[in-house]
Amino acid sequence: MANTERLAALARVRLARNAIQVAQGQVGLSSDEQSRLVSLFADLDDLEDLLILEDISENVESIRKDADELKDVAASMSASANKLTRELSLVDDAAKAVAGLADVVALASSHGLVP
Amino acid sequence: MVALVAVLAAVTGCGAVLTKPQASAIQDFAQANDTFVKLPATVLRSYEEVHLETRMFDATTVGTRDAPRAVTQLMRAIEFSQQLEKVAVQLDAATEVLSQYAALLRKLSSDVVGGVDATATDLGRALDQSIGSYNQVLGGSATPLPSVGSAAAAAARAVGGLYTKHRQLAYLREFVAQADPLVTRLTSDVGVLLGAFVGAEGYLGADAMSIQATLTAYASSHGVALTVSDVHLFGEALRKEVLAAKLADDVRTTSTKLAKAHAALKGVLDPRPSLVSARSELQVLITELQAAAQVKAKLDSTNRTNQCTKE
Repeated sequence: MANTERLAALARVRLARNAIQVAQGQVGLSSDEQSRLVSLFADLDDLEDLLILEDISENVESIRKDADELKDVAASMSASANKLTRELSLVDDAAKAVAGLADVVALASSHGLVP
Repeated sequence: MVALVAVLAAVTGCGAVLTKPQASAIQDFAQANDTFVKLPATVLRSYEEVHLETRMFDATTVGTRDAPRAVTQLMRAIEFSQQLEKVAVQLDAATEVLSQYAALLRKLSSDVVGGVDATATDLGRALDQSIGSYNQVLGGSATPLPSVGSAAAAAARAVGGLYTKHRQLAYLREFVAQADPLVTRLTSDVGVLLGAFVGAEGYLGADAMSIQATLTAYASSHGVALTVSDVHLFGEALRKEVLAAKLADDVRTTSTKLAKAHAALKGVLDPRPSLVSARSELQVLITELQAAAQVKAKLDSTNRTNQCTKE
């Protein structure tokens, strides 16, 4: 059911419920009439709950779809964050390589291999 | 100095790097986002409580003969609450993505350069040690090599730091721009959902009307003055409804402001940022969130008081 139709239906259900509540307050109603009003009122409650739950669920479903799309962006972000960490570790590796090279030069010179 | 700048520019590929104010704006947005995430489902849960009480009150006007039907209705009301809770859980899971997004924004804008500092310092120390050993081996036979460790460390720190900050900004620009229409749509849909709870014709307003009508019917059906306890119960239910409606309205307004704050954040990361405007959008958002959190706290305290009274 479209949202506009659902809201219109809800408004009609509420009008009917209010009318029943007023009718229930009338003096001189027979026991049968009271029961019929109680039953009608309860049916309208059920209908109201059904319409409300449909409306809320439909809106939450839209939000879930939006969230799924944002999740895709989040997944790409996560991959990029990992990539950035890897790039940082490359800087780290380069630094270690330079330090290692300096050690080799020092060792070589101690053995007279480097003048 | 000019040569150093040229080398750095060549290494980083561009002069644009993530600045401290940009990183702070991201942190502020992420924090506001985290506060917002749980609020939409809280509105659903508050409504669920108010609605269940409304249905309980409905049962008070039913005569003895119709008691079985009243019991059936109460069971259905409980079932409705359970179904609504399931939807609230789904909503929580959906809005949680905003939290994940905020966490990644934090990660991408965090001060990873600290790691480069440590690496650069290690590099400088290792170089100096090696040069020291080399000079020792040479003895006095040749001109000793100067200790260049600190200079090398500074260079590594500068290049590594600028490179990282440049990459961070590039990623952030790309993802914030990609996420912006999605955040706008998501917050707009949250606004539509919560709009149904607000106003006299909204779900909560309708329940308030129903409680008032039931109070009248209850008073006339019993034919005696209402007890203090009766008045207290009806009054508390109405108070809860007013608070829940305020919460719904506050969170709805906040969802719009969250979208605006995100758009402003996108502006901050743009080549020509408007930081002042983004900061003021964020300040507005934070104020709204504080207001919503206060209403939620009031509702929680009402619920706790009621729980204590029941016990």
